[in-house]
Amino acid sequence: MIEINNVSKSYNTKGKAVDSLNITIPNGEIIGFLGPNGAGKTTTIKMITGILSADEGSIKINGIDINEKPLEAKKQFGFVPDNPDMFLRLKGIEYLNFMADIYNVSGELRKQRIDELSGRFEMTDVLGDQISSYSHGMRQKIVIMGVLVHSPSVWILDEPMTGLDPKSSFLLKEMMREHANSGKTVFFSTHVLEVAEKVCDRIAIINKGKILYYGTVHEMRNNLKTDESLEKMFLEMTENE
Amino acid sequence: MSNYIRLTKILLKNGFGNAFGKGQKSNKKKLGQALLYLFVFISILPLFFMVMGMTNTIYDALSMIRQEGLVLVLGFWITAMAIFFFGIFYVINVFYFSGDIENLLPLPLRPSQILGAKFTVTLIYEYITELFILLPVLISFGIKSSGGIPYIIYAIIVFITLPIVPIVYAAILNMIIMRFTNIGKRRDLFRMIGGIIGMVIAIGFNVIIQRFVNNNMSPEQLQKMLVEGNNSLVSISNSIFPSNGFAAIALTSPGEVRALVNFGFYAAFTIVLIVIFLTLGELLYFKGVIGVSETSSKRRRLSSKEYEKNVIQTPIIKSYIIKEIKLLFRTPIYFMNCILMNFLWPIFFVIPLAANPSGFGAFQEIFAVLSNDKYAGIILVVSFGISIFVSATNSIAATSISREGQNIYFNKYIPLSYKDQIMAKVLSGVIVSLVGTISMFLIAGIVAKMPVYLILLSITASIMAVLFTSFIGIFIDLRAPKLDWDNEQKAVKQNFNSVISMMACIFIAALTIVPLVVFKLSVMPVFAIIISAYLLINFMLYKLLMNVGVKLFARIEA
Repeated sequence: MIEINNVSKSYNTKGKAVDSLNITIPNGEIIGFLGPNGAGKTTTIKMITGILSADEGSIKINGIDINEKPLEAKKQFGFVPDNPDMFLRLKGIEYLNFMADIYNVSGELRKQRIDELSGRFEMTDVLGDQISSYSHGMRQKIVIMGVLVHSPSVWILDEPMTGLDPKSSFLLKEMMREHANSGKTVFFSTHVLEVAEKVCDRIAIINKGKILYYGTVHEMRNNLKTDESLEKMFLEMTENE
Repeated sequence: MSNYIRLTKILLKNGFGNAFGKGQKSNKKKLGQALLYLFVFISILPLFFMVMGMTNTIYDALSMIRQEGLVLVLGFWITAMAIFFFGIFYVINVFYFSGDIENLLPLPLRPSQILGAKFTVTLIYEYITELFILLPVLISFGIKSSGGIPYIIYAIIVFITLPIVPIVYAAILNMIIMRFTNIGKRRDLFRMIGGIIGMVIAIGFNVIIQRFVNNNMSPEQLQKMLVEGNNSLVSISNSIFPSNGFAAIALTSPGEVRALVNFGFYAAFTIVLIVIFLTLGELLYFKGVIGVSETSSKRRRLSSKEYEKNVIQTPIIKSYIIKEIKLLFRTPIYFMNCILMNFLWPIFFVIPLAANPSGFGAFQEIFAVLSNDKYAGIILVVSFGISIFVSATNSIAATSISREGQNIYFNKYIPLSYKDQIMAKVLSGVIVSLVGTISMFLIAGIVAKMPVYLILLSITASIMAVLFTSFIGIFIDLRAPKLDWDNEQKAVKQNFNSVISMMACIFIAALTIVPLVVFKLSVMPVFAIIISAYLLINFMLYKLLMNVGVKLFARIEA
């Protein structure tokens, strides 16, 4: 569970990137985070993960405040950043092992997980190569695997589908569903509205630092009394602002 | 031509961007930066005046036998050698390993246009080198010889154009090496080796040339030329940079016709070299640079043995240190600047000895000193000083935050405390530096029969030195890390933090070393003083890092 209470953040004196944000991401659901470019999605995700600190308000992950007990809070989640170009000079296997060390995964458990994940993501044959030799999609997969290897209860993913081939994308969506169904949390940002519509239990739409809507796509249609696609509703909502 | 000019402008804008940390420019920060510039400027001034003073002294001595032009030859020679040497590094970094290559190759540009632009950028960087060596020489000589306006004009042109020849040499050498190492499937490895070969050639070249110059001048010959006067020695100056001799003649007699003639020769030689460089570049450059960023990959399943070996639980600090060191070794630019430099300094110290015609004799004298107990105190001080120098110049700790670049956010979301991250970074610097210094002491022990107890004391002092420079380095980098870079070169070479930390370390170390040398203490007191002083200093620095350093780390926003 992620609880965001009254969180604001500004980068300069003019306007706020995130303005008094209030949202609770419950357990057992997949929540999609949508919004136009520059709406405040990445800023919000960065504050949840402790990369940025909020100017005001509080953020709790599984009840642990990220500012008060940062290390404890950081152990609760796994984070897939939007740019997978990290540690390019490490071999895939070295990266996974490093991540497992950071999150203190035991030797036996990590072996089992790396084995299973590399099989599912079809990465077994490239683990011995440096990440710099990977394609964009493969880099994305190794970063996702680096998160799953420590099996966090809260998943936070920034644009996770970008660059994935259809099969891996399908696999990831399937895994997100399994994770949520087991009573845990999945929170991800996306630009792809079809994905949001199909995968998410609920969506949050943010624009200019404020939440415009938080609920199911179905409720949204009922509220707006229309049969339109999420795309149309999204465009109307964010443009009317 | 216009493409060349456009590209040069863009490369310069991109490269000079800001040598300081990330650009959140509040007025307070701007003031801080201005003060830093001032600090660097002031601390360099003594060097500048020292070179001017030396020039004056030598000028006065030589002018009695009317050979004052030799000062210029000497100044040009040192400048050109320094530029050639740094040029080898610059060229390999800027021409081959720089990240912008991949963006430039798809553009409709000729090799010579890319080369020309990159050459110009390198040339402009080398002016900074010249500021400390050539400029004071030119100024002193000008004042002494009162050459007037013609001198000033010639001097300015020489200042601008002198680095061209040594950079062309460095560039051609690198182009040939890179052309023939850019082959096969393990080209990343080959290129690394190529870089090392380049540096070895540079060093070897240096030694051979110095020997050659020393040997080929019999005392009788020298005497005869000295007696002739009239700056005749200038013309024989040196055989590798012939243009320097012409320039020196022009500057010693700026008002005369022969100045104009010699200056013509100087210009002609320089231009011919540029043409050769660009022509060779058309043939060699693309073949050497295309695929330079390719990584070899095997694309085969790990054997269960390899898998077992790789997938093991390691305590996180150790795991983090190993990661840091792996990245230092595997990233060519980090390898050249941080790792290789670490092992090259001892070689630099040896060059002057090896270059001496009676080289072996000089070595024997040094050996005698090293194994003589009488000098043990001073040797320990020198060992300590060299350790400070080597570990401060490899910049591993001083760029350890900057090297994270845009990926600094990783350090912020992982559940690893900033204390642990700082210590892991410090220790990775400490380990690499220690491998460098300890191997140096061991070689001194084996080759020069340095006594075992002295080796052990030196190693202990070295640990103190290396901890000290690493603490200072990372603290300075934490203050304002340079994270906004698009190629690794900018994180280590064009990073002001490494310069500041280097100067701070050397300055503080000098304060402790000078008294030890002056009072000529014997070895045990020297050891006791170094260890107790640096235990205290390092402890304070450690506390500072764990409090202020951690706060600075937390404040870095990605």
